[in-house]
Amino acid sequence: MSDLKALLEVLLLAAIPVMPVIAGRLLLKRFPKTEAGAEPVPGERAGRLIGNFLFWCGILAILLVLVFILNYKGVI
Amino acid sequence: MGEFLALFLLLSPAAVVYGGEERPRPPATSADAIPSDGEMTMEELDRFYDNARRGSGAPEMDIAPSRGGGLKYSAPEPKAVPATPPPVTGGAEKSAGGEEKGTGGHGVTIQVIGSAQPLAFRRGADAAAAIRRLPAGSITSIEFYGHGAPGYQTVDPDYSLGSEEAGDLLRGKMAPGATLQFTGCNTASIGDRMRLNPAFGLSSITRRLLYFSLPYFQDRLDGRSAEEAREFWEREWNKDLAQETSLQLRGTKVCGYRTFGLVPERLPGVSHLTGANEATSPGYVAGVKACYINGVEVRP
Repeated sequence: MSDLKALLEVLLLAAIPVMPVIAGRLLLKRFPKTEAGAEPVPGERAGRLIGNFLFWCGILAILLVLVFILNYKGVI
Repeated sequence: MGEFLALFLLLSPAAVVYGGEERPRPPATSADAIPSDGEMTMEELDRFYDNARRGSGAPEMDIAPSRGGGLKYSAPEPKAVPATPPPVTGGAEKSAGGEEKGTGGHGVTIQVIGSAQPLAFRRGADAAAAIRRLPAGSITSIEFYGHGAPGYQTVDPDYSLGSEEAGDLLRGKMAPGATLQFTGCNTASIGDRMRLNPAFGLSSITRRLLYFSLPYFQDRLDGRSAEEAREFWEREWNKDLAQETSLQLRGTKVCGYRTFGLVPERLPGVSHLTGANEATSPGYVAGVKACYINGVEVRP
């Protein structure tokens, strides 16, 4: 039971930095870029903005965690 | 003929530099500058300081192990702490031989009463030996710079210390209102304050993974019982070196980092560009600082 709890905790903790990337990607898919002259989907501008923000913040978060791990390993 | 001319041109500036000195001054690294028995008086300290200033900027003491008093010799500990309790070698030293290469920025910087110039040591054992010989109440600030982990800090690959060792080393040496800074990752606990800073959150997540989850599973693979491993690492992962040390050194402000303390100058490439790859102090540190006096948190 204790092992299962620890394993679930690891999965949840490791998933946190990936969540914004997934959410951002979903938003960018939901609000695709409109072609020139085409009718824009309502809320496209805000959706793409939030999607881009989440996606790139998530990427930065993953990179930051990698930096922490490299720091822990003594590489930096 | 051309070779002779080139040799002459090369040697001339060296001769000028050498000739500029009226007489050779004692180097800062001379162990004889420090009395082998007992502490330094303030006059001796002043003389020592003068010698240190005549050195090459940052004085680095070279004290033979036989003169190190009660220093213990022990094997170097690994930096990472995956499966065993944090390695606290407390005053461990390897040898006072040549300077090790490629270990990055680390060291001890000590500010002593009556001097504008700080003492800087690359090796923790050399700094410890010098501290033991300083007069009581003479240190106004001291910084240990290296890699940290919950409950301990390394200064160089052969020297690390926990709160007990820091307390034993510095007890009585700190001036009233002095500051002790542990510049290493996770040298304070994550605390119980809610924060909106996402970098703080990521640092806390990484700390939990590296100092609880990883060693927990390693212990389980090594055959330790789940309850025992959990109980042990729950206690270890969030240890507060700064707070524990502040209880050892009454009246001294002791600071550490609640997060990973990232030093931009340590990044590969940057350290070479800035020439700070063998620095004894970090410059800018990105991290959340926490300070304590007598175990009570104060403003950094």
